[in-house]
Amino acid sequence: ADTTLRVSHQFPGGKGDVRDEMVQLMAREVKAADVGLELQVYPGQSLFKAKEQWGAMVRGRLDMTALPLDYASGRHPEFSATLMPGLVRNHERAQRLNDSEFMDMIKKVINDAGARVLADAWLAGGFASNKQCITSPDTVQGQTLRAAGPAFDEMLATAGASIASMPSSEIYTAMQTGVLDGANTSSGSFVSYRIYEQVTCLTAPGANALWFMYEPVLISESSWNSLNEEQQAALMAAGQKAEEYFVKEAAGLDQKMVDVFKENGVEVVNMTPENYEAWLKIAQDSAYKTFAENVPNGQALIDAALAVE
Amino acid sequence: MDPVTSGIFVVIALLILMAIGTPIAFALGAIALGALFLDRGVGELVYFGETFFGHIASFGFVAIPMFILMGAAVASSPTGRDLYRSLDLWMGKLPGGLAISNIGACSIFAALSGSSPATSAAIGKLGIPEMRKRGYPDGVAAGCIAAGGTLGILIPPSVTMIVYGISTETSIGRLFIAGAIPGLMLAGLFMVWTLIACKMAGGYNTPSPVAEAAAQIKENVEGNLKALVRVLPFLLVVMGILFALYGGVATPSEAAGVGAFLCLGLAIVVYRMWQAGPINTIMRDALRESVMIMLIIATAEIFAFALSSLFITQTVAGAIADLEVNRWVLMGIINLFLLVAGFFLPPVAVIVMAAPILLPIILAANFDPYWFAVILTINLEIGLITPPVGLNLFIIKGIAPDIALRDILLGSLPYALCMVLAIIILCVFPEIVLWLPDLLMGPSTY
Amino acid sequence: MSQRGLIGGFIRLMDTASIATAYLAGALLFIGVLSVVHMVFVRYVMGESTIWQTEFTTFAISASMLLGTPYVLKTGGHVAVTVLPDALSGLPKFLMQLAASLVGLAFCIALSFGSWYYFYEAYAFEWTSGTVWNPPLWPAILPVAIGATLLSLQYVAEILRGEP
Ligand code: NA
Ligand code: NA
Repeated sequence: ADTTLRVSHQFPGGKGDVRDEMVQLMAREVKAADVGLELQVYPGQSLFKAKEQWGAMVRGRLDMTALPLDYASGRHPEFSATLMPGLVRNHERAQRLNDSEFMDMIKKVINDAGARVLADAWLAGGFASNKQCITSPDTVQGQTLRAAGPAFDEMLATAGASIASMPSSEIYTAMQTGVLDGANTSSGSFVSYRIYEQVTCLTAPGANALWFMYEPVLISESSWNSLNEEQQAALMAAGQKAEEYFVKEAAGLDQKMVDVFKENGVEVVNMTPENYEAWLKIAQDSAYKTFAENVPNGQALIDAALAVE
Repeated sequence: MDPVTSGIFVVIALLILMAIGTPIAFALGAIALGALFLDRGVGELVYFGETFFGHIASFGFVAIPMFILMGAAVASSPTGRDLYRSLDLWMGKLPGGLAISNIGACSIFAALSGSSPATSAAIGKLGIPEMRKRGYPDGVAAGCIAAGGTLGILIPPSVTMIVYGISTETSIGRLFIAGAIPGLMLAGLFMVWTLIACKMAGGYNTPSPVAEAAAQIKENVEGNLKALVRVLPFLLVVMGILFALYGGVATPSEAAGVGAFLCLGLAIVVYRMWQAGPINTIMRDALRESVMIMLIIATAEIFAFALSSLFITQTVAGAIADLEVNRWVLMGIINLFLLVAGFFLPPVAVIVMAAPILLPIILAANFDPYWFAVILTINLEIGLITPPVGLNLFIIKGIAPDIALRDILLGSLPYALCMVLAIIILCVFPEIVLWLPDLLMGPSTY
Repeated sequence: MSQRGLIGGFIRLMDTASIATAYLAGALLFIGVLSVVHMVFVRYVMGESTIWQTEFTTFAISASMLLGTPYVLKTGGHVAVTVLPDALSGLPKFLMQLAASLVGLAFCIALSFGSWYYFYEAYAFEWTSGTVWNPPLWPAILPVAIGATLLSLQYVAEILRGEP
């Protein structure tokens, strides 16, 4: 009989979301390889809730998942480095980061926890505001923002913004009702939550993007070990294809966001290298510092990431 | 075992456990665990705590106990009495006026509380004995309170709308506003039926002699005004909260917290309820109801997880989606399904299990998710007054244990038909639901 | 029906414990309300950041709900359909009620076990919530584990009381 692996993710299924597409592509590839392996995809949190997935996977309750790795940072604080301001900068550098010592360190934590990476993916994101374009650090002063990730919260608060914590599904309403002046999230979310209806200015990722998030496709080690060599090889090959597909799509996602926002009359700006360096300075005194203090090899992780060309 | 067979087993097992008297929350949880053990092994037990905690510890759900606390603060203070007395004096002289004013009181209380059983309890404690004293048939007295109470989840705030909003990632503020006008419309339908029922039974007037009535009026104009003045601050708080929700100041959990705080404060200040006794009563009532509801929500979520894990959910959703029928036939089938589910389960449990499955189907068939939330809510309101599980029926039984269940059911049935009529009206005129949210919040972003 | 001896003592002990945790639950519900009010004040009146309030409120409320549940069981507040057992009498009724109680008890014991295990993991591996406030997770799980355990014990007391 065929082996069926259960794959869970939080993104909408069958609607062209790039992370859903990666997993669906892997399902098709594995099926085509005809090695007695099938991937059963549960999209949109229809099996596990977003934050439950990591725990379920490392224990083998769930075979595979595609998730923002930072969601597991409560259990492995090292993972906060995968949603740290200014560690990635742009898609080309994200590619180089994938084969760096930094990612070796992160993947060691993943492996030790009982999982392995099948496909890497770094998503870019930006800032949007209905008050003032967010470029240099002083532009966030007095704005109430909702950031995706604690390290960003800390950096923005240090720069003088007010932070409001809420689930991402509330961003639209909160912007509409004035609870928020701006938000910071992935390019995909900006479009799918129709944030362009509520803002006057978008800071697109461009060449100097502060916001990047690592969202790999993972498999539980115990599920991996239960596969025969043929199946493992097929899955690895499928993961490779998914990764290549993602690289091709990643920049397109950012462009799509820029196009949609422009079509809706939103001003689109980029950060200059000077803006980027100024933010990096603030991050170093806030989020990086906290990370280095609280995580055993935190400083080493940051150094390793920044060392990448 | 294929999903269809296991689905049938799960439903039968649940019905058996409920029939022998297992509390619904525990029955849902036990079946879910049993199904997970059979599917994935006893090892699932190790993760059960994490799964349960993940479902109960959510900031969205925080609004539920707080809206219940807000209602309890009002119900345990003499506000209910004041509200009731004022309405009685305005309406009491019409034929059936007392029953109509009970429905009015239910509607107003519904705007102060997020829960239907709490609404029935708050107005019923006063209303049922009073109506029976004045010669109303038991069926009308019980029926109008049971049905009037169901408005608690349609007129905002609403516990079930919160659960729907979280399950489907729709805006809770918008859901609340969508329920307001249909809620008033349904209250109107209830009143019309009550008038007809009273006419059919020979009309009901205040039986006191004319002289006594005249004396009462004189004495009561003052009392009435005072009562109104005392109710007013509570109504202002609620108006303020609703305004905050759609006018751009707060999220539902924030509005609920502030509302609970203010109503608790008003109960203490306006009614001087600072002694331990009344505060105890308020907290006890709020705790009892919110614990009951939250436990059902958490176990229903685990039940839904088990159904998804066994691929039952996906199979059912696929079957509905593949029906290829006219969208209104589809809507009819969905309503029938909800009606049957509502016979056996409390509204929150049905929403937790059904809303995530139904929403994609609803959207694919080009129905508005906010409009559907109102249809779903009215449908589940019917479930509140139908056996075997009718939360409002249990409340009426508690207030007036001597009224035969048969009389309660016969008295409630016409109101259930009013709700069916309301669903039909809203299907023909969806603008009744959508007009106010569109006006206040702009077009829907779904 | 009042019971003597060890069993009676256990029932009375549980009744007292359930009432005590109900007070605690009420206090936590109120504390949850206060922290929301605090958040609204800080965010809208002071215009400052709100870091800990949403999580704190969530944890206070989940603790309140679980610590309140033994009292709700004791006072018959968990909704059940009793039409069938009520229609019976004598031994069949007793057996049916016993069966229903044992199912409920089994669920509560499973929940207690799962919650204690989760508590143990969170404590032993120093799990945190992974947010900007990032508190340790175990203090949020502990009341849930205690509440579920007391709920199981209260269930035993209800069965022993003979009115399950
Ligand atoms: Na209400
Ligand atoms: Na029912």
